[in-house]
Amino acid sequence: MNFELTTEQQQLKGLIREILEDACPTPVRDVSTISPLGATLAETGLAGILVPETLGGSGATLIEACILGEAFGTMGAPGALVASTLMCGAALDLVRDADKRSVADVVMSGEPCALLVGGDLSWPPGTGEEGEEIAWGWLERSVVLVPDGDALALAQGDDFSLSQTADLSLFAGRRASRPGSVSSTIASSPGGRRFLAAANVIMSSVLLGHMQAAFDAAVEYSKHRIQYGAHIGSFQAVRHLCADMLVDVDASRSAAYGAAWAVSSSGALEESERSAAVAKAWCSDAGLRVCETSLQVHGGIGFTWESVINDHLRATHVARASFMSPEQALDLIAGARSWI
Amino acid sequence: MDLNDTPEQHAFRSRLREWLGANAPELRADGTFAEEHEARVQWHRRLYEAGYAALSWPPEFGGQGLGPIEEAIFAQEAGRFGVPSDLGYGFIARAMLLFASEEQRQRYLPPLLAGDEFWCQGFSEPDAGSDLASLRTRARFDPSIGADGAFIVSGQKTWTSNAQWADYCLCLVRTGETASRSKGISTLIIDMRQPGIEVRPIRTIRGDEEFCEVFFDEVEVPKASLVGELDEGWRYAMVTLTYERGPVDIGFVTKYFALLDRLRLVLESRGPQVDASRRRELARAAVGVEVLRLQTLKSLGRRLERPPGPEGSIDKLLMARVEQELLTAAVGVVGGTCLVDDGEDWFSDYLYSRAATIYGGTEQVQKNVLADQCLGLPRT
Repeated sequence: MNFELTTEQQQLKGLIREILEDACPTPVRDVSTISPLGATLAETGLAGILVPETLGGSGATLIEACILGEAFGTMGAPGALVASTLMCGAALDLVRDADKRSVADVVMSGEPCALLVGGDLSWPPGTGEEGEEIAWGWLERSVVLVPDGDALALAQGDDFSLSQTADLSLFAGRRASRPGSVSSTIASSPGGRRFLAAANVIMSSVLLGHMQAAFDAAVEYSKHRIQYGAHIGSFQAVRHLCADMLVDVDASRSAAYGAAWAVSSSGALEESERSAAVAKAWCSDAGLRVCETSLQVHGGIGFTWESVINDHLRATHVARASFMSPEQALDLIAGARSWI
Repeated sequence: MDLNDTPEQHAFRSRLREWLGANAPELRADGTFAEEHEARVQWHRRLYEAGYAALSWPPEFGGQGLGPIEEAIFAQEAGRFGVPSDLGYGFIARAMLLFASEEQRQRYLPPLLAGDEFWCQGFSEPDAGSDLASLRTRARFDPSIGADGAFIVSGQKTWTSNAQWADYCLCLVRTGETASRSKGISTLIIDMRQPGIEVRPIRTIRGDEEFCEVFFDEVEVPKASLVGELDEGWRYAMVTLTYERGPVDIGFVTKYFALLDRLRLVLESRGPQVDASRRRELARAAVGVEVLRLQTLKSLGRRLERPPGPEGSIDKLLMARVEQELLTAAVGVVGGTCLVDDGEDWFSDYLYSRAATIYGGTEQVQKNVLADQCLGLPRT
């Protein structure tokens, strides 16, 4: 019984932080910085973190993926990086054999790779009306993973009609429509369900990163901002908001990494789905509470474009809705045969 | 990171499970509070004889010399069988182990751990709740009594759990000036079976008498009953309180899961007419309980590496929130029927859950602890 990261995992965490800090300023807002970041991830081998060794990657577990996911969240990395490195890496098992090698190569090269999701950002697509789909994490030149039977197939961006949208979330997704309707059995296939569990755990770690950054910023700000002749962090109303955030962040860390361990060590599909849904439901709500509270502690500054808090708040909304909404997660838990 | 049992832990769990299967008592829920207490004492003694009480205590005092993980496994399994763990002497005994003299430890710890003598903890007073350092129960030293002199104690304690059957009280008293705050407090072991002490049970919101008021009127306490140094009692109390959260917390999680299982049966018996929002509310409560389980496991791992610290307030706040959300959801799901006929204790448990953000340091005090000691926020 041991919850601590192993020495190797802690080293990986330090290494990721160094690499990402060197690679670009945070948060990442300028789309032109994404491409060099992808190249850095490729050079350091981080891009292939979830690619199996047989395909040339490092075949790490979900725990290592969460360490990277958390770091992406903390630095406010755009959805495109989460999509290509972590989501498409996790989806490789599900990619049909004919495309597996190509997708692995795209992922390991740090090039953009998006996933087709539903119009409400949930996965798999095809539950909404035709044309109401989104290429999740799409960038120029992205390839896209789309459901095909009970597998995923590689599609080119040209196969879609992609529309530029008023995208306040900065997550670089695009409305996508294509001819014909999507009919897929992927949602109920064991592979599809396993992928969705992994995706929920990864999104939980990304949410954790965002809330950690928002929380750290609020504590820092409250130690420096002076009003009424005192640091605002000395006022009980503000101190208690900070303590609330600490509880949420620490519990979310337990939730995200606990689920990562459960999903990576359990063969039982239902158990994995439930663990992942618990993490996704918890981190979604905690993430929103923390980002909104951090914005409040920052006062008017938190409401500006200049403040990093807005990046984390907007990204948190995207992460909440993506792959499985908190409501969908709760319905999964309520419908399961047992609580754990 | 590995949340599975090691082979040794697994073996311990299997043996324990087998023993509990054969020995777990049927505890009656409809007895009086005194009968319940007596049943728990008997249960404690059976655990002790079988080597399942005082698990993490040194063998020289009658403990088993095991660690926090085994304590947590015990709490989990006891919860699974629906039986209580040992008597909650945890942090009174911890204070004795850490700060009492060798002679005091030899005298008091073995019968305490065996369940032969009972203790209560005299901390809170009517005017010293969250502001514990303002306590006023006075201990005046009179060198003329006996060979070494004695303390004469007068004052009032409150919220004293189990004082009605306690043999001893580990009591915080003021030995310094009235205004000395935390600097003039000492810790005394007070024999509760002597003249000048009056115990009055307090009836709680749900009708039972879990704790008491205790009045001291010129009670004589020998000098040999001072724990540690004179005027150092505050420091001991603060260290002791960090042990309030710990391995046994996992037992609460097991209890909450048992409640959730019962609620699932309630939902199933109601069929499809149950509102979807009620199902989600319950699922949300289950999410909280599972996250609390993981949080408790995380803290348990840390406990192996270092003594507990202020971060215990995180777990306390989380546990209180989870318990209150669960019982609020429960009353919502069960509905008005439990207000009229509460045979299954839903409403009673809900009422009890309201204490979770008050006892052991209120939610607001816990947040102050985090702000001061974990976040290093400036003070006014």
